[in-house]
Amino acid sequence: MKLWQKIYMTALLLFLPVLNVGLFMGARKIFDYNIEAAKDQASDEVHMLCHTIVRDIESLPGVQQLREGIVEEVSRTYIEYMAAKDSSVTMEITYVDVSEDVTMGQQLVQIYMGGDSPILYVTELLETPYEGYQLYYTKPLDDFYQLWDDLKTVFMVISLSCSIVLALILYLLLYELTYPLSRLSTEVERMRRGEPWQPVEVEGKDDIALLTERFNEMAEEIQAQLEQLQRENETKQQLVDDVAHELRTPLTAIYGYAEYLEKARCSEEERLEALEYIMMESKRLSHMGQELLTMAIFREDELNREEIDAEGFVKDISSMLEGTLHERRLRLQKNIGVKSFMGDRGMLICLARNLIENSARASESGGIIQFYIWEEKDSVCLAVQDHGIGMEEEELDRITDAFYRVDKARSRSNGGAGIGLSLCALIVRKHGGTMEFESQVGLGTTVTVTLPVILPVPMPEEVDEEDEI
Amino acid sequence: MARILIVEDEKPINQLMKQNLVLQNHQVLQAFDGKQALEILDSRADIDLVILDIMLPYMSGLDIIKEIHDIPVMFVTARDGIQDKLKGLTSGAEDYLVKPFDMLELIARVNLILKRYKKDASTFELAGVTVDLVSQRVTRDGEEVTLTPQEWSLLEVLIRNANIALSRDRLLNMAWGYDFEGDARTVDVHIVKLRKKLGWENQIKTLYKLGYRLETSV
Repeated sequence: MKLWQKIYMTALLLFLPVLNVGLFMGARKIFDYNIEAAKDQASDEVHMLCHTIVRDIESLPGVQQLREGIVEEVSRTYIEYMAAKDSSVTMEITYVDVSEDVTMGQQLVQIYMGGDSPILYVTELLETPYEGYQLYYTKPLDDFYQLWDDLKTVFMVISLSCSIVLALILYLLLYELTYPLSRLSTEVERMRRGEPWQPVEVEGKDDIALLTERFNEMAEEIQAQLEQLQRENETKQQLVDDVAHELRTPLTAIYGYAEYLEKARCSEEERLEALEYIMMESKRLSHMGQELLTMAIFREDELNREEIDAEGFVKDISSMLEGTLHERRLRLQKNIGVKSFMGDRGMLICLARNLIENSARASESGGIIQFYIWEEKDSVCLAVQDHGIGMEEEELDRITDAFYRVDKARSRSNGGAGIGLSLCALIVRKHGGTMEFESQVGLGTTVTVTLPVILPVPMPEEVDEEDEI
Repeated sequence: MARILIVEDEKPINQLMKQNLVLQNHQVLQAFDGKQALEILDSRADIDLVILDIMLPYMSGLDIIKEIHDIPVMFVTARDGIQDKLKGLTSGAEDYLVKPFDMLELIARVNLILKRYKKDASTFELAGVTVDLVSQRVTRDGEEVTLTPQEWSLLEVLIRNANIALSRDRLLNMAWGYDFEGDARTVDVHIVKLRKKLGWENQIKTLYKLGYRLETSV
């Protein structure tokens, strides 16, 4: 049962009996009052009559007063008069010796319920010296009881119609009052089913309005989180597609050339070329696998912070990159402004190497790449600057996405699996730092990595699944 | 023999497709990005077929195809989602080939498109033998050679896949059909007959463990 129905039933159960009992009691009171009035009237009349009779007799001459049957005689006139006035009334004057019920001059007013109909019954003894005489007054109360019956009918009708009207008004009122609740419930249900959700309109300032508002807020939050999840899922899916694509391309070449070697009659030159392609593409596959693996390892690995000697760090990097730099006739200029800094050495070497390799790819043969390390307030900064081809502004947002290539043809011919920057972003995030790109087409690119000296606690590793493998 | 433009940014794959198609005596032009492809298409009107990658630098294959009119296009791409395929095929492409592909599949699909556009060679000549692929007539030094239907379909398969080694099983499937329950020896018997009738003892080469290959240049 719904709340409004509960309230409705309870209110009706409380209200209807009270109303009906009240009405009934009121009616009864009116009835009792009427009966009482009739009683009083009868009593007054009888008393007056008794008194008048005695006075009349006393006003007669003395002899007459003592005449046998004088009381009856005098009374008759009045009795007849009374009977003419009200035909339902019967009066009688009788002689009784002693009345146990009635003392001298006193009245007895009673209602006899027995018989066919209730009868109002009044007796009064005449005053001395006529105390042996008693005046009886009877009046059937049919009319009153008839009135009571009518009253009961009227009461029934009023009670019923009042109840119906009340029930109806209460129903509408409660339904209207609790309508926002049921609407809210419908929305919750819709949300549960995963249907598109719309904010519920808030009316007034009552509890329900407050609840609705809270619900709206909650639903919005949930919606936002769902969307975020969906977006993350899509990015993940995109990544899986990209991995599949990136794997497929070298595989196509490897398989194709192997098949060509098997099936076609090829010259020695063709044979060597095919073999070279097979080896090159195999290497590319293996390199890609390695980078993906590195990324997975770095993701799982705890950050192993230690004090890194800046000189040694840079020296290691340049010896690692010597081959690449020499091949492209590039020069690495080192600007070291700190003695040592904190961080995970393995990861940071990977970071610097990737950034410098990217710069090398973008640079023209014979160019210079600058590598800086300096200290800022509470943080240490690493920067790699090249004077290569640069990037468009809109491309900067996407370059940390795995497999994103600014210029596919160039990056491919220059090697690189396409996840280097993704990996860099992961490393920077693990260190709680930031990575910024500044680039202008034709002028070159500068990447600045800022790492906090004190690792923020808790580690702000956003759950950014973008580059999850 | 047809003139085919390959647009593919991966040099190894571009080269691979070229080599495969050259085996079929096709003339091949290569483009490595969208701009280059459009330049070639603008400057030449005699291209019979364009083989197009979708993810290309500067211009995607889907953009390039809008600029191509009256030339059949076949997409070759690593994207194999049903949505990608639908997008490719509804953009007006004749066919959609997913990487990694089989050499024979590439050639078969190319042949099919060329046949549909009547750009395929109608005659094939080799060592004094002329094969009319339309009327199915074979002449050797001007004299007509009679072939059984089975010999003819085997010959057609060999010509359509010239310079490529075909295993006995492959030949059985291609020339006899998948429901043929023959022995691999059946192929040998028919090859011997073809060699004899056409005088192609050197042209139809037996390859140890591989099968047979029709070689157009000895």
